[in-house]
Amino acid sequence: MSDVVSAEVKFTRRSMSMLLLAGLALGGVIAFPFLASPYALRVGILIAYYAYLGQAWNILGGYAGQFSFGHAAFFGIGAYTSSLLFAKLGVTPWIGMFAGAAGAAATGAFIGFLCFRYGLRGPYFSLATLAFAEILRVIALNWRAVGGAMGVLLPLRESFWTMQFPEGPPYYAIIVTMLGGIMLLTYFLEHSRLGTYFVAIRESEDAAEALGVDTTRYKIVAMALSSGLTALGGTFYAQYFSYIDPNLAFGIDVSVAVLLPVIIGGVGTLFGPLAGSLILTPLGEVTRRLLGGYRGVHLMLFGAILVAVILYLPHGLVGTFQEKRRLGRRCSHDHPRP
Amino acid sequence: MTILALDEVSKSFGGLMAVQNLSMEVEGGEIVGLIGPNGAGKTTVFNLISGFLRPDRGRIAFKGEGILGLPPHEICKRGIARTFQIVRPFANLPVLKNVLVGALNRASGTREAHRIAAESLEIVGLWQKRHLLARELTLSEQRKLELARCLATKPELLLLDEVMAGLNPQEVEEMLELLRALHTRGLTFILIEHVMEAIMTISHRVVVLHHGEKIAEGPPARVAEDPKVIEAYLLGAPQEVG
Amino acid sequence: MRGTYLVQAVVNGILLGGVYALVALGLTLIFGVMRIVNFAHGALMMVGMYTAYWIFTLWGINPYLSLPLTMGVLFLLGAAIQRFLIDPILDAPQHNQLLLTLGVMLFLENLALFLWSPDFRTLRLPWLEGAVRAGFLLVNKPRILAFAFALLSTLALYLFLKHTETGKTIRATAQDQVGAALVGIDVRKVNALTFGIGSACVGMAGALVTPYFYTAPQVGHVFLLIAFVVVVLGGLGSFTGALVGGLIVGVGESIGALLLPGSFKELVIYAIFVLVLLYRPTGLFGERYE
Repeated sequence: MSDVVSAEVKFTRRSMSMLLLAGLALGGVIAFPFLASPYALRVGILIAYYAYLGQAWNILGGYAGQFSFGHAAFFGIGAYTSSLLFAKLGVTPWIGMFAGAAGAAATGAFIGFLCFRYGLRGPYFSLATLAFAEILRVIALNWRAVGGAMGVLLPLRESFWTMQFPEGPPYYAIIVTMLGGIMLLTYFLEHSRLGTYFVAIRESEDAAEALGVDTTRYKIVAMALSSGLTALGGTFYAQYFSYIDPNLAFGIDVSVAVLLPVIIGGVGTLFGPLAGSLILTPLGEVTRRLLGGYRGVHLMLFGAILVAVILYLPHGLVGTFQEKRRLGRRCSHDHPRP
Repeated sequence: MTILALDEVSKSFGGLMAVQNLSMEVEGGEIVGLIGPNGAGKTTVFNLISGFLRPDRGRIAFKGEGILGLPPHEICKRGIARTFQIVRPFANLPVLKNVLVGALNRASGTREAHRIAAESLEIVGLWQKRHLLARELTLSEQRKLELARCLATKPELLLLDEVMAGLNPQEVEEMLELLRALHTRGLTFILIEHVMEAIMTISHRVVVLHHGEKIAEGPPARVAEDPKVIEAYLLGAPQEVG
Repeated sequence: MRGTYLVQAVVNGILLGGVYALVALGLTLIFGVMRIVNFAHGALMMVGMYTAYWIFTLWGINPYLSLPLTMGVLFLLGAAIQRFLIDPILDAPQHNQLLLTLGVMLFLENLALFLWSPDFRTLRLPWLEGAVRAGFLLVNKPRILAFAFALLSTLALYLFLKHTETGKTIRATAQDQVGAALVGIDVRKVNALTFGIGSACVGMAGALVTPYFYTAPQVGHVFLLIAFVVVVLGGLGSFTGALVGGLIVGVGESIGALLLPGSFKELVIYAIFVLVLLYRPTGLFGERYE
């Protein structure tokens, strides 16, 4: 009898401390822009930004198991759409971002339809997405109407409606809200029919088909969802940095940057992208400062980390942590094991 | 009532005829055993029925309606469920979630799906292990999991591919008990098996394939005595006996 | 008049294609034996280019003479990568293998960036400047040499694989890794050897193009994608496929450059790629994999 009572007490105590932790974290996140230096704030914005992009990729790559190496395609569509609408037609980015998301989602669905209808899986799918992103990059590079190699420079007109701000905090607020939103979305996805089908497809497409899951349709849905969300990140980038060009928008670097935090943090987990970004982004900033010089040198470190993670922590940080916790719980339980 | 009818079904790969002019019928409520030496085409027949392969010729009808050319998920929705020769669990998902995928086939929402999933797990005796990941189960448990997943889709016809393979005699007995219990609930079965004793005991009728052709059909006892069947097994590819 | 342009384009395309074939050969060999899609392939070519460049800049040895050295360096690098980084994850899910080679690519490219800056470098060989005239055709000298060497090495590789013990061992392992192990082949050694040879091939290709193509840390990207297109077109794992695919892509790009403005010729390559992936992913000569 006392066993049950103490178990209940343990549970309540545990959930209380989790709640307290969550509250502190939330408080920290809200207070951060007021306490941090401009530089620290910038890092904070980038952390949230890469975590957001990673989570968008995670939906397709981690949950549905389709590893896209060409997410720059959707990022770029978002960035270019909202930027061109703003620069050429004066459309507010608040609307332009959704136009970009819609365009990206449609493109994603189309690419998905082509790939999945023809049964492309695994590395073939990854290569196909890479090719599509490159196609878009070459088109953007050669199409004068969208700026060609010069790209698009956003006219500076700071206001809320133009989503341009003189200082960091409003950008911070936007990207943190986006991050919170996408994580909430992912959480509900995990428990929904859609999310359950996604992970089933990831684990075994054939078994899923045999159980009544229209795998092609759901993979396309995953693709559209992931690409639309990625595009919103593209708009944020354009608004924050005020400039995009074919390489910045569609380059391989973008496709890699999107998936890197997810692999490090843990594919297919809710907190993986955030954990990965929390590690990689500050690390990248610090490395850049110390080594100075050329753009991309911190990627050397990232490459090494990626290799190390694949070799030693293939489930990523969060994934490995979850594994350990499960194993620990199993040992302390009285499970009749054969 | 004939629940499944195959009419002159043929399938070849490259130059190899995997299934030749196969015609067979299954009545509702029957347990039909599909046997034959390795390479006889038995799994190919399952793949053809369940929509993973398309026949080159012939027709397949389920409950009177043709199902040729339908994708596997459509066929599952119609009421045919299948297991795989090599188990394919959703390895990194919990047992409950595995079955949930199947349950969502008919359920209108996640709540109802959970109810159906719980029911299926109870039937096969895996409810206690519902939080374990599928890859942590033993082979026998994984086969039961596949069965539970199928059951959750609320099928009328079950295609079980070597569901006893790799099980020890006690586990085989457990599985047979389970199948009998499910049979009393009104399910129809086609079983591919190499564990002869098991399939001969439980089947009402046995169909024997050899090199993709049906060479014998009838009650187990009669088929076992059929000289053509004996010859096929003696001359067929080496495989485990009983 | 038009006709001569076309013929010129085709000839240039063939010369280009020979080099592409050499690049792709390494990739397809690695895939054939280990079923690994080597994302670091372009980066390895870049290493080959820099190796040839520095040997020439520091010691004055031209890239053709220093080929054995360049190939040796790349062979060792490739074998080491395979032995220490790839070997442990041969049983891991395929996407992890892809990601690992991606990580190697990131590391190598940015190491080069760190060491040698993003500046484009060219290797000038005054005695090799200019072109050779053959009727109405004008063919660039370094390109001819590159093609000749590429062709010779392809032949050498073919003979090696077909007629030597080691070559046959490699082919056996490519057919069936488990079976090979069962007959006593040291699969780990074969894997390292194969990766080494594949790297040496692409490193050689790198050295061969330095006289006429710029050397820079990011140059690998260009050739990586081309290599993928060639290999998928020709069929993953197929020697003949890499050859034929290389020539088709080379000629396609050349004709594309003739007909399309700007850098749209790249679109031709990617379009081929996408079409092949959709309609015949096993390529012209490949086998069906599940």
